[in-house]
Amino acid sequence: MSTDQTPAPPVLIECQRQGGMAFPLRRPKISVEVAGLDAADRQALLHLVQAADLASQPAAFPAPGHPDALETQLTVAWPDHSTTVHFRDGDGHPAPLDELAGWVLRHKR
Amino acid sequence: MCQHAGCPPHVCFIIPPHMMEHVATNASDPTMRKRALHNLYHQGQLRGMRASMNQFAFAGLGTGTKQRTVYDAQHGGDLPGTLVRSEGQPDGQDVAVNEAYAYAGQTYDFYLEVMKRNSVDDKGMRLDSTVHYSTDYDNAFWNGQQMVYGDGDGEIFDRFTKCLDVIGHELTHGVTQFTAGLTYSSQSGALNESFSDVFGSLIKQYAAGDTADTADWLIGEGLLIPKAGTNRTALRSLKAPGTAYDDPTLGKDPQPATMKDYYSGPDDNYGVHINSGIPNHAFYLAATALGGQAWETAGPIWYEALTTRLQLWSEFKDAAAATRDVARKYGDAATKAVDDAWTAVGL
Repeated sequence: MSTDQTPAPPVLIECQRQGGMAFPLRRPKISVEVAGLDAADRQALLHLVQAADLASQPAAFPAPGHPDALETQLTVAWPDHSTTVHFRDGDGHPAPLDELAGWVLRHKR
Repeated sequence: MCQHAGCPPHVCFIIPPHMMEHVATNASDPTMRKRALHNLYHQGQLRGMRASMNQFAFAGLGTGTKQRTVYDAQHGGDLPGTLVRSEGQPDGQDVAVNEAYAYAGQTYDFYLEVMKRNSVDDKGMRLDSTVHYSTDYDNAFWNGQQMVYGDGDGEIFDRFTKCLDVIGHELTHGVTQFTAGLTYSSQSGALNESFSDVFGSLIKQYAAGDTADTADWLIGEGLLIPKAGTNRTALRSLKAPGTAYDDPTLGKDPQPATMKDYYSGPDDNYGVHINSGIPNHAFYLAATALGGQAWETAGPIWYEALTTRLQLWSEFKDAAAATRDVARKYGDAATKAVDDAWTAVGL
């Protein structure tokens, strides 16, 4: 099988949370350059990106969210395109989106 | 995915609400109950059928007495998590569990003793809390069924179970859900937030025995981790909206105190946590003009307005009219205090 069929790894992941009970208090956007990761982190991130399957998610989940729900904006950029998904606490989004966002936020701490 | 006209993605309304209600209440499979409840939530929000969510979904949970449970999400995202404490059990080693349990109890006591309300639904609904939600989670929220608390990130936010008024705030979202049902957007959403701040503050004042003059009128004091050279006092101030924090990282508290500085942009569900400063300040002005303990007169006026006068899309002018009207029952001083308070904020 040709290696051309292997999906290209992402080059950048960005996560920003806002809202929640503490809104409008500003929260920083966290960016992770994939090229700067060691091999183990890169592999872990790739698994999380594949599990999150951003291409199959709606750009924003339709539920209005709950009072004080925190909103997360997650962007994954590949060499030739990027995908951004917005989701909130309790809006029915899949758990892998939380896992990917959590990894990005933890990685920068 | 559902293809029915009118159904949003991932949500199908083919099952009639009464059947969904039965599944949500009685199905033996927790996943099925959760899915049914989730669908009902969407139906209620999208079709204006809030009663379907409010009146049945917790059937079987009503106890008639104070009943608290605390769950541990163990830093995951599944709710409610693992049960770690039930009503009557003693404190353990986990501070967040102890706080969630104790402060839910103080909130229950306030509503019962002061407002004569039996839990958030007035039918003794069990108060469920989940702590240690997710990782580095800087938030607390009410999900329509229970409270959820994160541990904070340890740099900006401390744990969200730390403050009694924060827990009172979240549980009051439940009270609003079961009464006025104020839609969480624009002015009705700002009122929803404001009632949670007002009663969160009153619950704290009641527990401390404060008077209106001695109370700090802050929400979430101590939740922000102090940093030299910055102001990280609290999340909000009812006394002086716009002064709770000022920090290069976090920004400056943008809450307005009056309609002159009303925020009309789309952020924050059209300003639900921003413009709540206006009705918050009106309550503060009314309570301090009346003097004494704020839960004795100003609190019941606001409570009656919330539970009997306001509706899904009520606006600031409706809250002002309702509280002005209710205040007449409490005499001339209350009538003048409430009227002056709303006038001072531009309503």
